[in-house]
Amino acid sequence: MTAKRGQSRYLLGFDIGGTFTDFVLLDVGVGTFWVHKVLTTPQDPSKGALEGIRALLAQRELRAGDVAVIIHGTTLVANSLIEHRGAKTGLLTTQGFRDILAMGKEQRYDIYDLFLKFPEPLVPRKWRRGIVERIDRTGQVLAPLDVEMLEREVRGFVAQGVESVALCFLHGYANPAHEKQAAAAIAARFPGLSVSTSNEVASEVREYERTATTCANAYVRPLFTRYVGGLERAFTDAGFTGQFYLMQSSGGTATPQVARDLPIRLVESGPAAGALAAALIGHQIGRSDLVSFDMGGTTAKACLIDGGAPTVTASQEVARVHRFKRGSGIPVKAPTIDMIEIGAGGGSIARVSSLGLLKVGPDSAGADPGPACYGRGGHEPTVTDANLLLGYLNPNYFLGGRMSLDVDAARAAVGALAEKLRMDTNAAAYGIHSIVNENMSAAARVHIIERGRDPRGYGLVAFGGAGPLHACAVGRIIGAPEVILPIAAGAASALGLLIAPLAFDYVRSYPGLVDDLDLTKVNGVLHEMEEAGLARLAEAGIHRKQARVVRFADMRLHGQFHEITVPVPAGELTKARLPELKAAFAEEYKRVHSHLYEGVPMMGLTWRVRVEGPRPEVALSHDPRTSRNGDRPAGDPRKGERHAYFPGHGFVATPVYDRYKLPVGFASEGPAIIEEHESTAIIHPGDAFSVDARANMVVKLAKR
Amino acid sequence: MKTVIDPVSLEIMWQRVISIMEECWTTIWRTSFSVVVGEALDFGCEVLDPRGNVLAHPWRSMPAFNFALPNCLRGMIARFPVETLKPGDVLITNDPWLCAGHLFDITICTPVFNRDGKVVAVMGGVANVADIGGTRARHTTREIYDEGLFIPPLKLYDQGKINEQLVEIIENNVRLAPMVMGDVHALVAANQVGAERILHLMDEYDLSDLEDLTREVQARTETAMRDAIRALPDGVHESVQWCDGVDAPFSFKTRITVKGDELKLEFLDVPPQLPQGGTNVTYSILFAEVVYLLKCILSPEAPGNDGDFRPITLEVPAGTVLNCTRPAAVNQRTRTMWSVAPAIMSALAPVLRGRAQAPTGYPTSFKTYGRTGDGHAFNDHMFQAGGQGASQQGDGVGAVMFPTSASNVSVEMFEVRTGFLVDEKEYIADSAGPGEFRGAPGQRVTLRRRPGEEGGQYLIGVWPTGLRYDNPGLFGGGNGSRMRLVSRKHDGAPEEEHLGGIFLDMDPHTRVTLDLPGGAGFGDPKKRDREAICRDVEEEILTSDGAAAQYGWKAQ
Repeated sequence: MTAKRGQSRYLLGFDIGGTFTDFVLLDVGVGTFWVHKVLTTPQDPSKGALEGIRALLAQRELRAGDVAVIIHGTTLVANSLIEHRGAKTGLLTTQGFRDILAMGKEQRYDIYDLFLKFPEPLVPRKWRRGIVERIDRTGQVLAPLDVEMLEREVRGFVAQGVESVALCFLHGYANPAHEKQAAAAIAARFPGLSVSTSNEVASEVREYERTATTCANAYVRPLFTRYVGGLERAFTDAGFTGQFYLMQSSGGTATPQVARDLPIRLVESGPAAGALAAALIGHQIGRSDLVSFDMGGTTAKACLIDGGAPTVTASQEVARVHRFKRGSGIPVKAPTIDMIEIGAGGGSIARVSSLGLLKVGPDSAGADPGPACYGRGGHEPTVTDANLLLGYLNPNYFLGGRMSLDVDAARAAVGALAEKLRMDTNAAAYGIHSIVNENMSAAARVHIIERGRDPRGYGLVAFGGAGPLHACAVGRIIGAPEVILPIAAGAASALGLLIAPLAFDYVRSYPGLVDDLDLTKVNGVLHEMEEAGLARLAEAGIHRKQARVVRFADMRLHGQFHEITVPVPAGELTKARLPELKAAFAEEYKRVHSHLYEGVPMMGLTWRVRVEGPRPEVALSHDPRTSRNGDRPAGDPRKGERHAYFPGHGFVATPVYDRYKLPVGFASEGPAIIEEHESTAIIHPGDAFSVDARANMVVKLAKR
Repeated sequence: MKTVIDPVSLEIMWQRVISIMEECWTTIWRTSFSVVVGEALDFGCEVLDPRGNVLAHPWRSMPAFNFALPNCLRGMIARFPVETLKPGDVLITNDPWLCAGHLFDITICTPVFNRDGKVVAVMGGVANVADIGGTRARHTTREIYDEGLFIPPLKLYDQGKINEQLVEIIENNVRLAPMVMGDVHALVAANQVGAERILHLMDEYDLSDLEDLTREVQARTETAMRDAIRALPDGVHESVQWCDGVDAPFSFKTRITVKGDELKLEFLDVPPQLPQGGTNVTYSILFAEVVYLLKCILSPEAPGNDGDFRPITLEVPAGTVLNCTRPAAVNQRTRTMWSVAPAIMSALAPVLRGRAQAPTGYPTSFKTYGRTGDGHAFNDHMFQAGGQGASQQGDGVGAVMFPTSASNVSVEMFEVRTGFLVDEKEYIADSAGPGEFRGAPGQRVTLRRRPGEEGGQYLIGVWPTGLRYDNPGLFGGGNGSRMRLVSRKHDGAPEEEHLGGIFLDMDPHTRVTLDLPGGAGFGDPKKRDREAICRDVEEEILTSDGAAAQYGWKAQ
């Protein structure tokens, strides 16, 4: 840490999302934070972000020089892949394998759809070229790299305007020599060209996934390099002298240099922050097992927080042709906070299927035209329309009263649907509400159960504009005992940016039976990755003594295909310590698959090392509703009552509270409606809720 | 008593059951041991009612298995009536006439008991195991007895206790028994998971059985299928389809009669079952394949279940290659059965027009078996697809498995597990069927022994479909390139073509090359957009000569 940092008390995080850019400014001295929200400027996202930062600092009468650390979450990488806005990219493969990228898994992800679509390869065939070279599974060279051929192909790329090159040779994870030799040759002859090698991006066995990841990295890299450079310059110009980090999908931050080299590790940069925010809130209230549940206008996301930290997976799928169909996207091998995305949000459209059933989502009316009740020309019934008819939303207090909702339009839209279903309008509205709850719950439950966890032990933390309205219903369906509703949940997810440690992740495949592994080699591989991470930390001013090193192995039973990631004990891995590794695998295997198939030898496949800097200690000691001069909104928190629908009760007069006026320690029972600017919470009859010292609302769910 | 379930509750419960089946699918995938199951995904699972009617299956389940399982379960019930089953019982069979048409497909069924001890559902899973005994030389079999172990419906578990004698018989009759039993246990585990989840669902919705739900789900699916059939004009539609045969190709006729909301499919002029080579098809798997294909064409949006069967009748003379009787050899059934896909599509194309799809190139697997030089045993399949057929919606998009839901196998994983080296896996220029919309190109895959691998054994068997005939395109579109299998004694040696497949113990010099077919074209090639042709030339999907021959294209 620099001396400079010791003097500055402020951390600033900003997360540029598709619609909004969220800011959070934290005074680490007293644990106070302020949030700010502006519309994203899609043409040049940094423009809106920089203006927002200026405005937020000006409000607090601070200058850029007062900020010690800026941390940035971004959707730029994901959007560039989804919208196919990236560099002209060339791919060099082992000769005879140029189409691996296009062939993918050759599988039909929907067995009945004859016309299914796949993502357009990021590299067109004319720029996918084979090079003579071959390495076998043991890493032995069967054919040397033809450097002349390589240079000829790259010259061709440059002549055609290719800006970025991906290199992925067969078994490059087992022996990266050819990829390194090729990269060096390209760097020497074509210094301006961006080169991504598979051994650096994702050194894992399985050529399609590795190639796809390397190409995606190469594809977004020039754009992202320019973007990060632009931000750095702008910060410097503004007088900022602290550290600048970017959020990775893994929940750790990266230095700008790593982010420029491996932008593919930032695909889920923004959502990762949200998961960390849930962990932070859990930490404050003493809960380490949680499900983070974030529901917005179009999608809902769920993430498991296990033992105080979000679970991390080694791979994900991006840019799906069918957003919610597994197998329709591009596989990306990068450590990623393990989240499930569900096509369910306030804007999700309800319709009658060809089978006469009520379907909700995954298509959404979005913000424009939006739900029918927005009165902007939308006529299709949505979840928000149903919620309005059920009395859950206040037509005159949407977005804190900045927008009013048209009840008649909602009734007309839901009524038309009800007629087709031969149901009355209210029953159809409740049908929409319950189906969207069921869709989210089913997906979240499978996500939790597939990881060998029992949802009944997990509390739900709700974020997003629609999260607090649906959280209690979803929590009850999955069997959660309680629901936590943080205040300002719409923007608070940016808080997660501030608690992420600087982290470097490394991976290397070295497959073998655990009992037969060359442990000298395993230790060598682990050591090499660890030292690389420590060196990177040192560059960022963090001494190795402050570092935390965690190591994992992807293991499986010999002959199987699906790996389970387990921790590798610290220190030198010796024969005597292998039982620890095996026991860890057996425990996790049993957790996920109920029982271990005995008598089959275990295999180690891929080795992972994460090197982290210290985790920022962020204590939020403060009720964030307090205004700048220490005041809190006073007066009767009870605004009145309105009729809201609850199953088994019908429409009942339900008290409505102002979230900003509920005193700390306030406790009551449902039914209740609690309104704040960005969201409305619905508490069901029988559930008990209370307000804690940090203004979180904790709801104890009644068993059904 | 019939209770009507409202459309909201039905949607909720139906989706929940499908999501339970997704979980079963994942369990099999994650805990399986063979390449054919774990990487190539040649398995399926579903939940059925106690009479053997399907309620739901996962989205990626192997299609033919989905529609064969009901027949299989009925066969099991005939042997072990439902009311005699006890908690902890697990049934097993691989009878090709009951289920999926060859001995490799092992079916496991587990009854689900409610709190009152009554069977309310059956969880079923089918996987193509890596080995079932019998000869590796699949093209030589004359009777089912040559093809390995035949397991009639039996109890694998009796009230929770494993049938050790049966397990010993299996273990002593199959190669690499731990791999085979590992896959069997993956099916058992998935059924167990599914059973627990189904009971949980019933508790949650306070159901004592699944009768109403099953009836309602099947009725709505049936209605969707009937509506789709009714939307077709009444009439008789015919096609003639070729098959490889064993020594010589043969053809059969397909006649589809659409009348109101019912569809009758007849296979006529079908040759008698073949005495040798295993290319005969059982009625059970043929029916499953036919229903699957018709569902893809007519009612793809609705989740699959028994409701899809009811409006469809299938007639095919017994004792023929498409409806063989015991003890016919069947282990190469896909070489005949997959031709049913182009047969049905070409019969219906004139009435489907824009909803038709030109034939997709057949997939094929290399079946490898042996030991590496250091004594490591392997028994692994390397799958790959032909090019997708074109349609009015556009060009075929790539190598896509059809009519199966299998996945390819990673070249690196295949090399890690076996003693083979893949020399190439790449699209073939000029292989895409020409048309206003072209098919996707076929791919070439070449295998040899890994250099430096001494000793050991390197058996390889490849018996592709479509070596002796082309499947024409639709509405003037051309056929894709033909399936072609060749070997060379060493690099640079002349090619030897194999029209009946290949089976050999590879020496260090031999190369085996398989050209998978391109997808067929749709519409007149003359109507193809000139820019699209130029792009294909630039992308080397077409050579200049190929573009000239297929489209009359001239370089500018």
